[in-house]
Amino acid sequence: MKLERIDEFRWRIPRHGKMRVDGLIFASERMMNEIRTDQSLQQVVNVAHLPGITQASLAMPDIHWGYGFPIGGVAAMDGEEGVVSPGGVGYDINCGVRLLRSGLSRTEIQHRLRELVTQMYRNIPTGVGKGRRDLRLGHKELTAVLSQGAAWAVKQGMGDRRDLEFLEEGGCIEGAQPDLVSARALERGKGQLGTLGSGNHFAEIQYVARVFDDQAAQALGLFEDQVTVTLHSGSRGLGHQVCSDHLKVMVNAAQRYGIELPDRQLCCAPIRSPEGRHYLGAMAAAANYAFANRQVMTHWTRESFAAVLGLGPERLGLEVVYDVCHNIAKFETFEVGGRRRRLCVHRKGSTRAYPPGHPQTPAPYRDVGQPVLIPGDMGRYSYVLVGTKKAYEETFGSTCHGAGRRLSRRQAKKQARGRRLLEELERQGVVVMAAGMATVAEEMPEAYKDVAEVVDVVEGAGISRTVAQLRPLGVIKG
Amino acid sequence: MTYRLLEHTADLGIEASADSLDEIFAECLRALTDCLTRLDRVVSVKTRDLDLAAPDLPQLMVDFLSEAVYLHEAEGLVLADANVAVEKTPEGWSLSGVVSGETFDIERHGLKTLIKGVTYHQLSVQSHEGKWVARIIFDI
Repeated sequence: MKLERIDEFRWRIPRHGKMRVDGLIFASERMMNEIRTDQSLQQVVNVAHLPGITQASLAMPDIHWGYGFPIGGVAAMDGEEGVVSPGGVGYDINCGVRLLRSGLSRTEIQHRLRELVTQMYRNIPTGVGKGRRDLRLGHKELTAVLSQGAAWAVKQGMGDRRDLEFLEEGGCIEGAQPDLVSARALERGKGQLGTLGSGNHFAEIQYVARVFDDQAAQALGLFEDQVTVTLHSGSRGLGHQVCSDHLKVMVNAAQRYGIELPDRQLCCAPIRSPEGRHYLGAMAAAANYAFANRQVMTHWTRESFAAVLGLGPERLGLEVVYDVCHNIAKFETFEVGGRRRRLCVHRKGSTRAYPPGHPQTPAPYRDVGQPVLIPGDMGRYSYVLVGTKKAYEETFGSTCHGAGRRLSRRQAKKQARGRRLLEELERQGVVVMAAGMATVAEEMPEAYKDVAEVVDVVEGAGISRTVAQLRPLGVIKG
Repeated sequence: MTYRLLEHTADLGIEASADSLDEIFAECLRALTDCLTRLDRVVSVKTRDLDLAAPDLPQLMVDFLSEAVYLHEAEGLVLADANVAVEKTPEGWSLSGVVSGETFDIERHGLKTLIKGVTYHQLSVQSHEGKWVARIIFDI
């Protein structure tokens, strides 16, 4: 396939064959050399075949090979004539990131760090097994979680109504249909609300190491040396089951609707078809589960800090900066070719990055843009960015989502052999508590690429602006 | 046991081989358990009957292994073995038989990697010169 370089950070795969739009990839030259070694680019081309795809088949700099759709891909489909695909969202529906700021500085908590991590580890279930006994849901409550999202948790006293203002979609996607979520998915979800999960999910205590944009940092309530907390988690077994259930249904749906696919894995159905509507209804419910999950964990984080530091909520100031999805499909409106159009935007391993002035950018941030939270590995750093007008025009208000792995889990475990990782990390100033040692090895910093490289590209391309760098102090993992 | 771990950056993949169709399913189940915990520490004291049908073998494999994931999450079981018959039907394929294992005890069994689900990514179940080979990637 032909790959044209547009500028330092942009590459185009011109429309050819049955592609309906161009492919547009954001990457540095060095990254592109790596990207070309797997099927990712072919997947960008394949996605461009889908009916209703608008403007371009997009890929962020953290792109890698996925199921049908690449991870790090964005595809916006016409809301009426387009298709929806579970593969364009990912298995972990609404896997996402939430950032909390605090009124504390690093020096204030440094000597209590281990206690804080221990308390969080105690309060937030990680790894295998069910959630806390005080949060076992019956069918009725689970249905409410799936309908209301984060608001459900707030109603139970887990957080404040004000938290909801600072969540993407207010922490609840409209149109959720809990009755379309299978019994099996519900069974899996019942016992897992308020659990972190495993793999690359984490809860991390951090500090603001660098501020790059004073005005934006001030608007976001961030300052140098400030203690922050990041939660990275999704919809757990429930979301995974919803994806599986619908992939199974859609595998043959495309054929029945006369949709020609270059790859069977792009299984999809028209948005307006029963299969399409059912997936969207169930997916929204799963997404709401994830929002509720992060809200519950926020509450337990606040309780953990209060218990260890003996400070009240005002002094702790643990407030939500923002909460973003990075595996989702939702209806958003954009101006395309001079017309306002309602599109179903699929972001799989990609984050929404709305510009300054957008009504969905929370009022305190309206002058600077929607916060974008980009987690790195547990040894180095994570970033807080804001969205830009350029992203809104070029990528349907989307940007990258994270670093991407460098080593396979097997390679990481091999490289970790004989090493005392927890001690190594502690020497670097990071206290880690994990349910499984294998996870620590698989998730060690050197298993990951440098997230700064990914951030450099999106900033260089003008689709995000860097606000602050966060460095880890304490991490809990499953 | 004849399976190997596949190099996959983000998730966990296995490739297993066996001499019969029935055996390849059993082998993949054992491999899944061995990814989750120490298979050699799991004994067969509890059983569950399974009866599945799917239009093709890869889908049947996903459905079968998904049962194991579900039994682990919902009932806390780890499965040590499977005694199943996989047969061709007019609509596709069927699997029926018994899986066996016990209640998961993290202290006794140990935890390697939590498996969240079975994916369709790079999925294949094929026979070549009498030998069956299956490749599955787990979401973790």
